[in-house]
Amino acid sequence: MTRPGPFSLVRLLALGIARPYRDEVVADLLEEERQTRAAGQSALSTRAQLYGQLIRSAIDSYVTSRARDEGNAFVRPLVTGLGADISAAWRQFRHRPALCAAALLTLALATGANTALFSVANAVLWQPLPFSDPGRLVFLWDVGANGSRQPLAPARGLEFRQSHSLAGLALISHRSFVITGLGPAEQWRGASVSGNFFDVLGTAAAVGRAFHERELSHDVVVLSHMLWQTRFGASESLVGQMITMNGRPRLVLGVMGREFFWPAVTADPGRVDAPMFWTMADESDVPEGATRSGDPRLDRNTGYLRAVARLAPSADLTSARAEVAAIATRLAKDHPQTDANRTATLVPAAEQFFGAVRRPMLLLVGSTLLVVLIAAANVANLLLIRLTGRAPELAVRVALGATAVRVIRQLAIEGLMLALAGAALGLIVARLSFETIVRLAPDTIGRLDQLALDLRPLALALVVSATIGMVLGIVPALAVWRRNRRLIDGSRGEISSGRTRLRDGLVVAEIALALVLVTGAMLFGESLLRLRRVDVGFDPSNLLTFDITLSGNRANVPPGPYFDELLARVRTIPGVRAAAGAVTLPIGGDDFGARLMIEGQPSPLPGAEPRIGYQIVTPGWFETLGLHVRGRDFRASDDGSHGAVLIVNETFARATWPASEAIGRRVRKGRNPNNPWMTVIGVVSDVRHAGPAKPPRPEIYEPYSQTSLSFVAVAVRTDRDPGSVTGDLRRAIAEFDPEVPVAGLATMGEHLTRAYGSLRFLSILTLVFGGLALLLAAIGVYGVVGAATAQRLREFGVRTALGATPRRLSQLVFAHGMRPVAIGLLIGCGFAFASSRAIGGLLFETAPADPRVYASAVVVLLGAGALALWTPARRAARTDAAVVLRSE
Amino acid sequence: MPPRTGLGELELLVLLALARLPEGGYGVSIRQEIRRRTGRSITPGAIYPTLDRLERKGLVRSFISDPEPIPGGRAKRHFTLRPSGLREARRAWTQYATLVRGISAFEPGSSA
Repeated sequence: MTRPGPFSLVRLLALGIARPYRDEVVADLLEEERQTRAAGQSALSTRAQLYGQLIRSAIDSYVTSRARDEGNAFVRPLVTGLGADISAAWRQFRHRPALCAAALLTLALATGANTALFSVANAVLWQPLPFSDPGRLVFLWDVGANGSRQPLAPARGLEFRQSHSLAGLALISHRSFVITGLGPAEQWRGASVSGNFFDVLGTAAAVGRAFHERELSHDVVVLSHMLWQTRFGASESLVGQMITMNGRPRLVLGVMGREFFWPAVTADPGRVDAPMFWTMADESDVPEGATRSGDPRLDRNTGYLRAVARLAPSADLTSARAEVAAIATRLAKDHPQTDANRTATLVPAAEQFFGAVRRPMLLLVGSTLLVVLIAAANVANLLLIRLTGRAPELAVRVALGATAVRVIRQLAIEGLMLALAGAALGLIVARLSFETIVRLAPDTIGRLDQLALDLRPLALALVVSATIGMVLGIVPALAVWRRNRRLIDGSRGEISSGRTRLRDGLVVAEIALALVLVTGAMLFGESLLRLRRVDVGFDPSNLLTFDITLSGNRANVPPGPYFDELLARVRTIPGVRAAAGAVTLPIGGDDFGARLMIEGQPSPLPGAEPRIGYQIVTPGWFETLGLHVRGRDFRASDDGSHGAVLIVNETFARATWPASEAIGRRVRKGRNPNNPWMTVIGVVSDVRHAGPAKPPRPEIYEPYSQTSLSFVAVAVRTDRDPGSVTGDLRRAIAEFDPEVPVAGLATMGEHLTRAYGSLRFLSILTLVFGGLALLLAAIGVYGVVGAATAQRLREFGVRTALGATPRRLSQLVFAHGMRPVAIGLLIGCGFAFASSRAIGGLLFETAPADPRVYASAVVVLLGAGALALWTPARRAARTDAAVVLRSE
Repeated sequence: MPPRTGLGELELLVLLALARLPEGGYGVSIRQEIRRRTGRSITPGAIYPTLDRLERKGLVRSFISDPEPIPGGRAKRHFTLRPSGLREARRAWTQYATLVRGISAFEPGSSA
């Protein structure tokens, strides 16, 4: 027989059973469970029966022993008549359905929203990363002269391996591979990593194995769980097979687990999809071995490597950072041409992956907590109101001999039932809103595929609301019991001033908190509106985009004619107005940069060169996007044979030659004096390449016929819904070349929505929470003033009899109701102002202390308050003196 | 005048169940006997206080049996009916029967 552990649920429930029978009862029930299970019932159902029996036994063990002298003197009165109390509570709710519904709705919305959001935030803020000792995992970044994080050049990547503070350092290069031999060609994004990558992370594969530093063959690949599931239907037999990647077969060694969260490692988070696989890199891609670090052939100029390292046992983050910075200083001295004005830093893994979303998530968690606070105040208020209305009933009960315990228990049960029902509804709200939140969440949040609803916050909310319910039931009940004589007088309807003050205080708190949330919602809403109004430089509607990568033999011949033919074929598709390619898409694409020397201007210090956006485009690119070119556009004949040409954007022209014409000037790429000078032949209008939130950068365009590229992002301008063209497009390209994959097919609208991601998420959620807060606060005001008005009807009757006009009476009600609202708004303004600093950096072109936003929020809350006061005020105005006074 | 009894309903059920078990019984077997004959499911939390009370009234006797000869077997509290218990049950039954007599709904052949 398995004995229940000391903290098992069985032990816990057994505590409810009267002491003398406890052990015997538990032993009997366990024996019976064993018998029913042996008879073939499921473990789950027998367990459920066991728990049910334990609870019933607990009650029975007291109820049955009550008839004689046995039993527990304290518990007995708590248990007898429980059923009667529950049905009495039910009757209470049925008599005041509006009040009960208001309280339930309040609890459900607040706890539901809080649970759902907490579940999402949990993955980002508190769940440990799926690596061994993730706290000691760091990312190494170059830091440029302007303080920006940048990827490492291969030579530098190796040199940082000398650091004694780092126990292992793996280099990563993000790449895309063309996969052939599995049906139509496909393109997968992945990472080419040094052999020690999985050793540094300390994570094993879920199926098969990961590769290690001294692998016999480099032609191996480890797949992500996502790729394995979606592309291969989670087939275990895949391990050990070969996949042809960029024309070279690679052995599938293993598949990482579902929980292995590894996003793309970028300085600017969230712009690149997570890798679908990890290949072991070869020397041309990611250099290996510290012995070769002095190799002069290694590139020091092109930074494309990301680095992940594990802190050595002897090091901490501060000492490791200092050592890495010292190595960078030495490198700057050894290689002044390339490494001067550069340093390096370490970023902890949690910050690298979640740093950007940490603050927004904390902000949202804070918002839901405020909503829960408001909800708690609201429920407290509603229960207080109900209690005031029931003072006569309770007084009569006490007078008729009800014991304090009975009365308190009755009220506590009502609170408890309310809390339980609220939590049950909250669970539904949580489920619904959880899915919405996951759908809305920007891809920067990460781990979204692993999210599950976390019920702990709901349990907490249940405990909190049950406590509120019971305390609010018990405290006033004690007062009732102590002063029962005076409460008989209370049946005439006076309200104690103490309780009124408490209720007004709760309204003040609700309004103040609601103002904080409404202000925040308005600030984010305003930011999103401004961001959406930003002109990105081209018309994003009816624009379809996809990527074409050439591999194998295709990459070895000059690709110009190939792309010309492909684009010509695309232009013949019905509905296509124009099509052209570029090396990277604005908004949805990567970020390529170049360093330039300007003819006739002093060369900048090494490492301090301004970073210029770099584009390579096919003819027709400007026309397809709808950009205006001053001067001339590229021609097919611009192949460098008559001197290299380029087109610059307006920002570049303005910054470089502020006083004179740009066309005709010359620039040169890089520091190599052998590079040819390129003549500016045109100036093109600006594009917000890095997304709507970032102002246009200085940018240069080179014709693709003048250089070489094996990769283009194609933009297709359609004259109808771009979605309706995708089928024809895929067919046309498959006919043109069945072995070239169409990757990343998406509309520019989808790229834009992704770019709005974080702000859109924040503004939608804060708007929901703000709206919720507003609704709850309005319910609070209505409840308090409505109840107070009902209790003051006699006073209003007297006033009417003495000549007060209906108008005067509504004014009285308004004045009473608006006073806590006004005080709340005043306090709330202070809170909102104090908390505005927390959201400053998350807004777009909106001042966190914008007085117009505050004023609008105040007006909105005043409006909600006035609306809530409308019914009570009208009721007061219609007071009939004769009716009210006669009822006395 | 029928004999008087202070037996509760549950007490009577337990006594009758014990009367049906020639060797007496313990918690599980008594409850199973009641369930098998009447369909009523009584929790062990109700059985033990009742047995306790019956023992204090001198109607049943209990002893702790030796542990069962299986691994983890436990020593059970075993109950047997005393002659006074059988007498008390008979007295209660007579009391009910006296009351029932003459109520048409209880006559044999009535459809209730």
